[in-house]
Amino acid sequence: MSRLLKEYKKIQTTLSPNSTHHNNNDDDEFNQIITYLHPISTSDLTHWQAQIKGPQGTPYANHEFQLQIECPPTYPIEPPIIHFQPLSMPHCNVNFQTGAICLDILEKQHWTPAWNLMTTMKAIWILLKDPVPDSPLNVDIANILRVNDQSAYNGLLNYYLSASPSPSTTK
Amino acid sequence: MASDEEYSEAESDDSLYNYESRNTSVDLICPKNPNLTSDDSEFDIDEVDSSDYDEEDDIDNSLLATPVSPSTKKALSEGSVPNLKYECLTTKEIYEKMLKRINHLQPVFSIPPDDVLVLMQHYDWNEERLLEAWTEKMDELLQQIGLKSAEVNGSSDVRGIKHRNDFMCIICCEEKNTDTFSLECGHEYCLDCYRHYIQDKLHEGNIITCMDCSLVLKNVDIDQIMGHASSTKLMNSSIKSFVQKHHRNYKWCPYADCKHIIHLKDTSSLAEYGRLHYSPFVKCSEGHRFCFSCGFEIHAPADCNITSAWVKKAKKESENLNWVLSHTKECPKCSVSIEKNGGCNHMVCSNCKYQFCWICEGDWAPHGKSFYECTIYKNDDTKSKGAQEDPGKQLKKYTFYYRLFNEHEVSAKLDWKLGQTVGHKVKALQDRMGVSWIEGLFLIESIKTLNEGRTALKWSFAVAFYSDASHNLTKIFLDNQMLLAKAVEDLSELLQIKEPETIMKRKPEFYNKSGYVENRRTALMECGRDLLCKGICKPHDG
Repeated sequence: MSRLLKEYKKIQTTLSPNSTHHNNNDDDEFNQIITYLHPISTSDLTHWQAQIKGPQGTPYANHEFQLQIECPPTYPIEPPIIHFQPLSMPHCNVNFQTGAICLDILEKQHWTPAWNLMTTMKAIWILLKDPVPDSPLNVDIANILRVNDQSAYNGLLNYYLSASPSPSTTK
Repeated sequence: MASDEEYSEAESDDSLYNYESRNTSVDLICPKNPNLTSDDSEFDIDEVDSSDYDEEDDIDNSLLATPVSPSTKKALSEGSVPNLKYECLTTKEIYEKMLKRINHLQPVFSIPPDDVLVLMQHYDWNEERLLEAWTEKMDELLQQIGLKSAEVNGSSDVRGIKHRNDFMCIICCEEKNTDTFSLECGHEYCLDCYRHYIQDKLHEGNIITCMDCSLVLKNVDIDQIMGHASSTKLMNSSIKSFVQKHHRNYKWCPYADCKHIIHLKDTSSLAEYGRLHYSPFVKCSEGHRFCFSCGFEIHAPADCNITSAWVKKAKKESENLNWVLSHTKECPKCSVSIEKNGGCNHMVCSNCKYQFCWICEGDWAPHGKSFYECTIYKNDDTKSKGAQEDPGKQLKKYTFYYRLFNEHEVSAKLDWKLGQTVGHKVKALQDRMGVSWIEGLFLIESIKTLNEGRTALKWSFAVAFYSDASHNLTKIFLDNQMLLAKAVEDLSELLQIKEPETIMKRKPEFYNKSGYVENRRTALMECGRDLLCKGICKPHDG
């Protein structure tokens, strides 16, 4: 468990908005992506909650998305289990109903212990930027992406995103 | 069969058996119109074989006309493919073969054999694909697979284990004096974390890389980190997935706990065998015989179609027939519950000493004298023949045969258990009677014959179920079945004897009864093949 404790401390220093000593680029980048990454209760570091920003230049821009993180007792040998808030994420690699994410590094086979919660958040953020329609969980969106119908894609996503009960902390 | 009585008396008399079998075959082959299927079959099998093994042409061409070797004849009558060329391997042997190939190929690559091994593993042990990729893009390939680091910055780091004081491992986040491991990339972690990481990946059989980049951990690295030969486990898993991927040519032996794999190089003719009612039976090094086509145990006299139809039906009906699997029955006389603990169907109630037949629960006396009537399905309603049988009756017929099939399956399992104890019996013979091991071998042989006989008997019920009951040949088949059933029960009973003295005294009987089972089995197989080839027995949704 000392690994999660260390991560927790690292996350606190990296993501704290008023912290002055994070002047390296990596930390800045994480601050651009992650607005919130915290254990649900500080007495149990296996359950976390996170919120990431939608990448600019995508329909997700100016929206924020909540994630549930669960670290198995074998973490970091085994990957954390991560879900979006159900019914909040219209994305071809996310199951809209459950929020389950299809991402290779979240599978046992491709996960390596060198990843941590922050880098994983970044990987999910990159998935928002570059959807992979060839292994879809949301077939409808993947099909629109495949035929490259940009206006339909944007329209559909905007419809979902405006209707979804996701946190309305848009700026 | 008027001469039934004779055979039982002269069980081991080969000449008599031959006479009888010739008789049957005359009966079977006589029919006026020449049978196209069987002609075809000879021709096709010839083609298949000759294309592979030229030197065997002569034998194959003359299969029908002139005498053939006894083993070929036996194989054909069983419906198995004669001279089928295959090999029996274990994962270890396949791996060793791969290693040999790698040593052979190594000069082509001009990299260490260990690296070639990783390349082979990456290409699913497919030599051709690897060589193709290799000639196209050597350096790229080495980098892509992770045998060569892309950045050369880590030249100062040597791969291997180092000891560090106050090392901070970023995986477990513990600071300690510990041994660490890193590859040339310089990603260094403590051995504990590396061990956990590798342990988790061993069973996947994929190449294991550094935790932070794509540089490959070779087998030597893995063994060094784990402290023992763990890479064999990884290689084992990799070969297993190789076998799974090439299931057309490689098949696991279906017997429980058997680790052998049969490799059949040329599978192009498997479909053709099936059409001709031949089954490619193979035998693993443990002596387990199974069908390479359908993966079931040896199912002669049935062919693959009959077998799969029967098994499918059994699955479908099993809900209606939950009674069949019960292992106990009440004594028909005193109603005490009896568990069958041996293979023989001749039961003696330990309570009231009533002797009865396990299958029909009738008095044993008539079974002993005349033939084993329990294998005949008695068509109660002889009047309504010709008309299609109503479903209820079909079910009844099926239930009847399935019950027999199942009884023999259960018996076969018990026989197998019996076989386990035979070793002790042979030992007892050696100890108490001063009998040499070779001399005791007849017991083991008898068990083997018994097993084969019972398996054939079992599957013959599937054939009987799917055969046209009104046909004369079916009746002959059923007679043959009865004879084998009787022979098997006799042998099984003989094998129940526990006292070494009695066993030795009755040794000739073992020989006689085994020989008889063997002969009856062959006769039944021949007859079954005829049923299949003539289309009298064919799968239907009854």
